[in-house]
Amino acid sequence: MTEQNGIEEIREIVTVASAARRSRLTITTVRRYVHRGLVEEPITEEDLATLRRVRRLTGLGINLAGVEVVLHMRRQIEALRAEVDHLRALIDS
Amino acid sequence: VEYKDYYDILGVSRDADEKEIKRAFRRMARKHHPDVNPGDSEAEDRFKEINEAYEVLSDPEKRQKYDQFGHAYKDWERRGGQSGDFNWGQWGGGAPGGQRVNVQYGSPEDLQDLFGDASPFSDFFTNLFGGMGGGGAAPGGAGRPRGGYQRQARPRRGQDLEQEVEISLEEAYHGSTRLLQKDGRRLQVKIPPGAATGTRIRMAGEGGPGAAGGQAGDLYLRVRVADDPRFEREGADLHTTVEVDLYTAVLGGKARVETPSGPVMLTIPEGTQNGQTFRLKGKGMPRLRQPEQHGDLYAEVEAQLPEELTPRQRELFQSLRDLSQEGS
Repeated sequence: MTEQNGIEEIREIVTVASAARRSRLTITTVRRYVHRGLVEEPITEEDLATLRRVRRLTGLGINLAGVEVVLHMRRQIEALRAEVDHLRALIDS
Repeated sequence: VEYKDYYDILGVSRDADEKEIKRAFRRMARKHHPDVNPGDSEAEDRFKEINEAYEVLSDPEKRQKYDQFGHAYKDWERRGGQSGDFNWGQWGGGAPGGQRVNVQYGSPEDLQDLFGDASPFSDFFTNLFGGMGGGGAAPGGAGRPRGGYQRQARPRRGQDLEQEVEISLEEAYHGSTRLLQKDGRRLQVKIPPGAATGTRIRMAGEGGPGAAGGQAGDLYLRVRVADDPRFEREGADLHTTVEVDLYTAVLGGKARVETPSGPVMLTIPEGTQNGQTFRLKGKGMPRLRQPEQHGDLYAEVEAQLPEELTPRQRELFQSLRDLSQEGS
């Protein structure tokens, strides 16, 4: 038997099963969202919030195409907001 | 504590049926949902109201209580009562043990996503229906926190972690041990004989720590078996090539075959053809979880023809050819 002292680093990755449990989706649904590009594999801690967001939005009767639009616009809004904060800070200083 | 008109908030009439209420809620929620209005606190407050209104009006029991309360409150107001000293005594909080409140977005993670640590319910709601325990039932008899929502820390299981480990084919054959370092602690992992690329080894409780007394997650090791230039693996079977010189192939003899457990000598019968395959039973990989059972090793003969001939060899080959032509 070979003994190895390989010290490995552990990344913050969530298994699909765990992501499904923690976002209250089924494994199949999580895989479908990954396939559709709503989140990317490997799934990380940050992706869980997105998965839950997708679930809530579909719960409002929005279809996946609509969810994609919402997520895209959200990212734009967040980027704009960050820029506004940055500019405000510049004015204040 | 201000009286809240939930019908007005959802924009429905007092005799609206369940379907109407649901439709109104969805329409309003789509507009004001925090997922659609990131960072907009006004929309967030509006959404809280909408959610709260729906929470009450979509539940027949709560709706009934709210309607009764509404009459009492209006009467009291007509008699000139001041909002500050309304007697909540007979209305408050429901039965001891806490009324169970199921919110539309009731998981603790959802509430955290949407509102941070802020309460999703108004004082008005809390006075009337009691506190709520993050989607689950509040622990029995805990009473209701006055003047706001208090998050109950629920035991939460730690996250699962995944890590890839690369092993050689020999290690996959014999089984192996790996030492990992995690949070300054050393973990010894046994990789069982027969592991293949994609095999996952679960180490219970070695994932992320649980929160509020929840159990820790698991650590999964995903095995990757490095390519071995000598073998092709097909399940538990292995394929390899064995070099046989021309004379052994023609006359028979022995040839050396590599196996994961070391070389063995294979008997080559007379007249072996190039490309002929021999099966070495039980010389393949062990089966996962049944390591006493092995697959087979298929050895394909690669006959080596002499590249340079000495004059003497050339002469002999020449006479061999003459001989075979004569014979046919």
